[in-house]
Amino acid sequence: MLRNWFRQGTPWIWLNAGAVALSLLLVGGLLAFILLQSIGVFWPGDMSGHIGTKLLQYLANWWQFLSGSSSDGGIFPAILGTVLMVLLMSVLVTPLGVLAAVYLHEYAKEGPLLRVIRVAVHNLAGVPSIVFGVFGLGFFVYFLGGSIDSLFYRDSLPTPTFGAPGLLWVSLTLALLTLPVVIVATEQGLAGIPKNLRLGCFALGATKAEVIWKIVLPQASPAMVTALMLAIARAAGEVAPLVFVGVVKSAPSLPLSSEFPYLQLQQKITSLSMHIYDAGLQSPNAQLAEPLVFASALVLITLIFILNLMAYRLRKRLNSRYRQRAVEE
Amino acid sequence: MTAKVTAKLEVQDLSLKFADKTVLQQVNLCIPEHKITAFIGPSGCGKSSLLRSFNRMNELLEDTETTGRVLLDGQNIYHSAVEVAELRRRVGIVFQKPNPFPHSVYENVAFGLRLQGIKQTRQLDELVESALRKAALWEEVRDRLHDSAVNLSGGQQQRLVIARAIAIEPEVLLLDEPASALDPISTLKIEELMYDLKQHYTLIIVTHNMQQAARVSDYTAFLNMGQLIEFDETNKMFTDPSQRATEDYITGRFG
Ligand SMILES: Nc1ncnc2c1ncn2[C@@H]1O[C@H](COP(=O)(O)OP(=O)(O)OP(=O)(O)O)[C@@H](O)[C@H]1O
Ligand SMILES: [Mg+2]
Repeated sequence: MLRNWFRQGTPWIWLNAGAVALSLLLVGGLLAFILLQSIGVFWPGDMSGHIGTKLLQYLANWWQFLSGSSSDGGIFPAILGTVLMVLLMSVLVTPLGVLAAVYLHEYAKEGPLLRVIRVAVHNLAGVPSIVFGVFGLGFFVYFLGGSIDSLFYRDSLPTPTFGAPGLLWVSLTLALLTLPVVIVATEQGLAGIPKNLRLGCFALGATKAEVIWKIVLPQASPAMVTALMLAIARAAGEVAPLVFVGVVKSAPSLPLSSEFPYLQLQQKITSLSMHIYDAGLQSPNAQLAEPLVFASALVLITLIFILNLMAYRLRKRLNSRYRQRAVEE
Repeated sequence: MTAKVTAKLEVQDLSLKFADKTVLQQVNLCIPEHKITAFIGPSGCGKSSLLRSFNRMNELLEDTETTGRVLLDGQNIYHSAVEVAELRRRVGIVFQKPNPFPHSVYENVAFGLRLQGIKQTRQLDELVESALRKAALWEEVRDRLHDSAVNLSGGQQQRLVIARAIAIEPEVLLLDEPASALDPISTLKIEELMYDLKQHYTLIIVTHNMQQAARVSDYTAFLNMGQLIEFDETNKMFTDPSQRATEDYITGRFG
């Protein structure tokens, strides 16, 4: 009887279903909690008047919160900082990670050295992020930034230009932090390409470079987008390592400029995660700040959701462009 | 008659190993130019492997080792100075399992042409159409040239990969069981195509169908367990084989 129960896999199904339910409950509960905590923050409870005017005021308050500068209690600099650092990181980490993965998977000779490199890359993913922050400060800010200053910004020394924490170093540190994720995921994408697609391409007289460029990379592009999604989600949430390299609780000005490249790469920035940390723990009036913390958290989640949605759409487009039935070897 | 035939490919002492397993053993063979040569033999005897060694596809598989020589127009293709990509352009291959690229039908056929540097749309259109016509596929796909090729049926895919290979006009065309998934009418068209192609090209086909081998080929090679047992004109081979094993295989009394 009991044996039969096991053989039919009933306990297994219950365990699976239970695990799914628990995960859903936790994630759903988290989202619901944040939503509940923050949804009412800007409701003009003390104002009398028609529900319509109240609603308008409610939206106006939200808008104020989203678009205002920090001195007005707004989080616009934090949103902009998060978006900029994450985008810049993507621009840096994608080509680097993809090139590294292509090299490791397509060109490097299988052997002890390659195994060591692989293990190193995988272990890099497990290095605590704070270590990346310290490294970023020592290597990027002091060494690289210092060298740039002494080469190109000699006039303004001893005031540092790039030799101080700033947006560029934040993005570079994040790129380094997420590099293993991108390499590993891209490599998996490369490994998943059916052998006979490559052979078919070689058979038509393609060189190795042509095979990689015309078949391998397009085929692996959905995997690269997935990798980037993971990287972005991870990067947007980091605070601690970034404090070393250029994220501050309130930036003196926005890292934008009116001239090309429209960015002030050496500017310090603030980010949503930093804002949440700061408002939640460091503000003198934590009680009062708490609702705003939840509102910021909601904005951060929404932002990551939007970025993921964009990546998802892109991946779907790529997938249908290179659609394929499983072609088994 | 034999005096007029020149050898397009000359196989000398060719051996092939997968890992430590010997798959081809000391094969010696001359493939005549502008003829159709058929490879027959039981499953696993090394027909596909021999075919792949004519354009060095084996070295793309894991852990293979080739020894011996294959001369294409007198030049050893295993010489280190040979440009393998160029070799494969001259010696095209159609694999046993159809492997269309996950692109459109059109792009599949244009793929090799684009690699050659042909960019003009008009020229590509013409070449793609003519290759598809030759492979007896044009009528079926003319309205869905820009649909994905992986949605074609198995037999259509088989003809598509043939079209893809002949589009770049190789001098030698290696066809590994090109009709294994085709209905009799498409088979007949492919056989007609082979007949047309041999005016200008040299063809080698692998087939398990004895009637087909007898019907289309000029020469036949019988392989067994990695060894070439017999090679002769098809007429001779099918009427009066010199080896007992050949006769047994052809008449279906084998093993
Ligand atoms: N990629 C590979 N790795 C290892 N062994 C292989 C590989 N490909 C083929 N072989 C082995 O080489 C031998 C010859 O295989 P091959 O595919 O050339 O046979 P075949 O005559 O074409 O058979 P079939 O008629 O079934 O297609 C077989 O024993 C097979 O197991
Ligand atoms: Mg075979």
